[in-house]
Amino acid sequence: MQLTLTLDGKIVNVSSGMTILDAARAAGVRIPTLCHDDRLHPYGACRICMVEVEGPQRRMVPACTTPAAEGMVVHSMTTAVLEARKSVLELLLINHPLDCPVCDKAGECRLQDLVHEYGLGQGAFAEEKRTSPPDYASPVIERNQNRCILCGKCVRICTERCAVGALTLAMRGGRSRISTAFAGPLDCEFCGECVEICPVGALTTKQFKHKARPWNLEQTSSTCIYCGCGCPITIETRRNEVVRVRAAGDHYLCARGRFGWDAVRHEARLTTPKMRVGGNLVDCSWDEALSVAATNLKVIRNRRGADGIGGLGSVRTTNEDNYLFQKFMRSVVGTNNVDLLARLKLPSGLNTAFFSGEFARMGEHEVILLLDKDAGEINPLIGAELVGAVNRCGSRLILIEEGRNKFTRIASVVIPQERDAALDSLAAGVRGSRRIAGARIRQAVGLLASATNVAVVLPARLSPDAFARIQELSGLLKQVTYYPLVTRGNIQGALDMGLMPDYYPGYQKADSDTRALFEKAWNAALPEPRGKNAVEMMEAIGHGKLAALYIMGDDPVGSDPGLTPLLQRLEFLVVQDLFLTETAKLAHVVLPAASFVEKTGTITTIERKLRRLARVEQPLGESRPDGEIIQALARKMGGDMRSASAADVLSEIKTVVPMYRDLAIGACWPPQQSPLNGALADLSLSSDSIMRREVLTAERLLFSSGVMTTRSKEMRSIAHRKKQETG
Amino acid sequence: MLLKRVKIPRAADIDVAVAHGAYSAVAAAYDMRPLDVIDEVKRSGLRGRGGAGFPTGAKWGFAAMDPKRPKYLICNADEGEPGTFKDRIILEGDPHLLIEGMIIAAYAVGAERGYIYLRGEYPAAAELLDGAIAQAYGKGLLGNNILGKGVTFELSVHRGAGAYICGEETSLIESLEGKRGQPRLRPPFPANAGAWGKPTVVNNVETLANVPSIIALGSDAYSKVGAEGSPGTKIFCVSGAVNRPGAYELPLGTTLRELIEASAGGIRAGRRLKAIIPGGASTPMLTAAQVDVKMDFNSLLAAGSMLGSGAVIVMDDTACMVHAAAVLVRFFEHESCGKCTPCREGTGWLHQVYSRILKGGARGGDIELLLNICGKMKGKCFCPLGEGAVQPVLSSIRLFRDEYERCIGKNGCSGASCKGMTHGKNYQMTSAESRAISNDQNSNTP
Amino acid sequence: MLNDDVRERIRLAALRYPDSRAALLPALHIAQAELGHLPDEAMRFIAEELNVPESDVYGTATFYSLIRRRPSGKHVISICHNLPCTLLGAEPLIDHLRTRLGVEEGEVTADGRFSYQRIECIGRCDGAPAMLVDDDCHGDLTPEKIDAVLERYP
Ligand SMILES: Cc1cc2nc3c(=O)[nH]c(=O)nc-3n(C[C@H](O)[C@H](O)[C@H](O)COP(=O)(O)O)c2cc1C
Ligand code: SF4
Ligand code: FES
Repeated sequence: MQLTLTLDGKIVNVSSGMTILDAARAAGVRIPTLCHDDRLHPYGACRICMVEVEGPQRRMVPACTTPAAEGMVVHSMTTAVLEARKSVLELLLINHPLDCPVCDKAGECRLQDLVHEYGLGQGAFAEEKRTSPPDYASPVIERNQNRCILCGKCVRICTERCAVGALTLAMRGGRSRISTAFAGPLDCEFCGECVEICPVGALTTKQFKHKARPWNLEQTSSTCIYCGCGCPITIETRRNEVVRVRAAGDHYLCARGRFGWDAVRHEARLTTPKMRVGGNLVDCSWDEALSVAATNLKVIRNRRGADGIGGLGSVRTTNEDNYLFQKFMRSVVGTNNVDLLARLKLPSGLNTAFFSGEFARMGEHEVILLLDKDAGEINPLIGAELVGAVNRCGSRLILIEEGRNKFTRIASVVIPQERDAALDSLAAGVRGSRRIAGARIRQAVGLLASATNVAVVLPARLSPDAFARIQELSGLLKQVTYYPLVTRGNIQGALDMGLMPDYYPGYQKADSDTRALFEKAWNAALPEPRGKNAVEMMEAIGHGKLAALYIMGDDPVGSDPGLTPLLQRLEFLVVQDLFLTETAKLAHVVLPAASFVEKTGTITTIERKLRRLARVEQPLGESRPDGEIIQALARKMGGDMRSASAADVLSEIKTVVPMYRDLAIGACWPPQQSPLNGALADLSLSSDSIMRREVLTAERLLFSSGVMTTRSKEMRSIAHRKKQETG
Repeated sequence: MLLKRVKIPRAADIDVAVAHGAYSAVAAAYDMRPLDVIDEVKRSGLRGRGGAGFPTGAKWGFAAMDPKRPKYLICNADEGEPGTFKDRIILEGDPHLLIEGMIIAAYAVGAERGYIYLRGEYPAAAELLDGAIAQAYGKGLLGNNILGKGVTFELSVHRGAGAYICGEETSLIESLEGKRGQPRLRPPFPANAGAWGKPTVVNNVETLANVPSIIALGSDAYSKVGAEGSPGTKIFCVSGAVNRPGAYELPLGTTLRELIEASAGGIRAGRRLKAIIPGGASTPMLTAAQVDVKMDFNSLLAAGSMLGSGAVIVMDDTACMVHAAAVLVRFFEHESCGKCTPCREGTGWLHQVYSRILKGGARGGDIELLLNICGKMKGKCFCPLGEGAVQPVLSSIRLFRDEYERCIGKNGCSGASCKGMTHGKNYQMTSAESRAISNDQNSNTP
Repeated sequence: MLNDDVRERIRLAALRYPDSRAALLPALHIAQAELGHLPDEAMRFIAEELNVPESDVYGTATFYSLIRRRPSGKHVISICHNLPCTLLGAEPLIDHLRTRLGVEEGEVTADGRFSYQRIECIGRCDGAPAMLVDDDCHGDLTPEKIDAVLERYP
């Protein structure tokens, strides 16, 4: 229903349910707010947004929470309104320390801006200010209660959006304060959403403390590469150095995305190429390193054939890097032995249509079936969207989980059972084949059976058997969207780019027809036989059939130290990485790669969305972007790979990968454009022989799982604190 | 009508209460359709006795019409308004009257679950109510299939824990749900989205205690008593400088003079009436000259005050009005929930200024300062608590400005005019709580 | 610290509400009656029992004046200092109480018997000045009456 109201003399049309603030925005009238945020439930506490409404008596009402009504006459600029706003500011300042010169928020502080705008002088307050000591003991975040204006946004985002509930309002009245449980140091997911939403300097980060003034910062849009969600970020730099990473706009960002970038600053970053001389790795020039690598690969190819060589790509690099990597292996080295170890972590039965959901549309599902309580640690954005769907959109959550965690608090039904048994009961219940025992199952069945639109959030690792169960249940429901949880960065892009022995880029089966297509596109003869996957390559090393390996951006030994003797059997190992990883320590040539803030390119999120990385810093030392290294190596090997920029490579990708042909930055490629659509091609790898030992706890997942997080100072401070707590 | 059984010994015992007519209206109500019960209450003109005076029948009608289920009935027994103790008299003296009222109200609005939100400061009443409820269950007046009529109503007591704001109905609901008692936005109103998001009726103890009479007597007979726009009787709580402080049930519209002189025995020994707070701490003061005002909703409004909860605080010529206002400001400062800026900061600021004045630290311009702070609060707070907090300040300055001027001019009150109300250096600014907080703060430092 | 009996009583209380969080205030009362005050441990226990974040238990508990987070005397005296009682001499009585007990507000007497706190109106204005000792109300106070009342609480 449409409503018409008058705002400062303008006629405004809005739909019913909208507030005066919404109407003002529609009319281009600016009304200041402090406690309001569109992502949170309305609150109406700060009273800065007061406007006057005509009626039998003129009334002052808060614009942010007062519903617009037909015929309402609103004034936002009267003397009374301006006085009221000034009053609120004066009241907020009476206990404020006015320590702007030493406050990191100065320059981007809503309170400071408003006080400036309303030209407040010395207020009438001449009594004692209330003070309390700041909290410096928490990792990553500092809390200064004295600057707090008690807008409650931090508490509300922590509860409504993150479901963490680490923060609370404590005490009452003028003694009210933002507190943790028992006023101790923060114990939470350290996503920093509270810092981001705080309108004043009450919550700030240690990372940014006294680092720069906000007005001196340059902002560049980029993408977080820590997990498959690929959140959009804003990188803030000063004199071409990163000083802060923030969420783009109102987007969510987790601890890794916000604070973990400092790994690129780690003192152990590789800055020069290295080669093995007499058992030791020594620094060398790029020319030496590339020559040694090229020569050795050629020698082995001559002796063993191209299939004596293998390549492992990366989930930490861009689409362009991975595309070039497989192209190099296929067209220059001449083998289909190219793969991605991260496939070992995929849900089995996975195919491209499997990633069918879009994060932002999680709230459209009536029912969400959550099969992994660690969702928020594996893919924090999925966790946040899930909480948002429940708290804001009214989605009903069914959680199968024996213990307690943050999701049990917001779930409509918690089924405290082992997963397989619960899935069986649910399927039987929906089918109606069995009398349903247990109120919870009955309730869950009721929700599932009546829902027209169900989301299933799946664990990162599933047995084929468990997956079959899920599919069976899904088959009984009306419409199911899968949200598989995937730990590692650009896995979708790496798969799209053909980092698999049996697929060319774009899931085009490596048969003779496609081979002909790619031979033409790449102007090179391509190998015929099928290649080895990562597991087969490892086995081949064991059997002495694979003599050389080129690993870009992965650290298998770091995950499974048991692989050391195997990799030691290689005649030649090239590792290209940011750090001297456990794997790199075994290499004959180590090539230093540039980090994600030092190069351009694209990545593809697990919702199949194309996002861009921006280069904001020079590559550290002599390190180079992966794509450049691959092309240089190709040239050394005499291959026909002309030197191309990331943009050129993306253009080439668009000509050969069907789903990317018209794919714009920020858009998702439709699953039906994949040649695999509908087919149940299994893109996962399983193995009993390698990477068995890798066991990650949820906390380790979030704060210290990989090459990057373990090298972030900020992430380590969190992990350290977590360890202290668990004793 | 309301206090008839209170004087009977052991009226809290269900057998005694029943022998004196308790629960007779339940059967009568069950013989009517729920909507007819609501109509009867509407016709009676009953207005809420919790302070706001909202028509009870209308409130019930909103909740009854809402299709959402379940529905809840909450009795507001938080009675926190300083000077008010009428609900306690009913709760302790005749709990079955309240339970009977609730059974009928629940039937009318379609609520099968009820709670009595009882203030934490009434431990004795808690015990009595628990006993009375258990007895009512025993007699089949609560639970399933009440009186064999297929009606269900479950009732229990929920104890508050010391927060005046929880008397405000949306804060009460938050508190009932196990949260901090901070008020909620309205709309949605509790009648549509109250406890656990479901239609909820919140009524004061005294309001509900009127219901059995309305059903038993019929609305016509009921509304013969009282004043224009304020039918029925009201329990007035007279406290302060009178000879017989106490709770007196009189028809609405009785004059303040009658109440003070006839019922409460007049002003205590040899003193003169100076000022009256007619409806609890958040209602503006009246002077002795206004003692002939009629005690009903409309007359008090016309006199510049409010009926409120009917707590009549009487001050004689020994009272210092600056101190009186200071005590009430301290109360509001202590009870502000802290959610909205004007109330949280404004009450704190007022309190600091009053404390300074009472400690002999008055400054020129303090009267204007107090008025200025009130101006920053008035009409801008989230809930009526903050709006009420400025009333003692504004009304005392308006009516007794000379006293303020004397107090401030002499750098503090001489104490000559307020013997019973010693103040000065002992006036308490900090409380045990604020000390507790500083302890907490220390644990924040590394 | 809190035993199975307390757990059971909290569970029973929770049955009265459609959502177990509503049993938070009852649980705080139950635990405080058991322990005299509410140490952090007790709040953790309640948080666990009701599946409410610890921060919420803390935030809620600290909102309410009657929930004590520090140890109190064996008997807790809550003396009213609101207007009706002040008009009839509450302040001199509070002074008397302080002198008589020899402690400040919120502190515990050396023998552990008493602690006292000022409190807002306790609805005994017909017997002002008034105070609560534990669950009992005492009105029409005078210094002598206070002394006599204290004798009754060993
Ligand atoms: C700050 C504040 C305190 C209140 N305290 C009480 C109270 O103690 N008891 C009460 O019945 N109503 C109190 N009310 C009024 C309630 O909000 C509500 O109007 C009342 O319970 C409705 O019942 P009634 O219609 O039967 O009066 C208070 C309101 C405010 C704003
Ligand atoms: S810390 Fe910041 S966001 Fe949180 S309430 Fe205070 S001012 Fe608001
Ligand atoms: S003011 Fe003290 S009991 Fe009412």
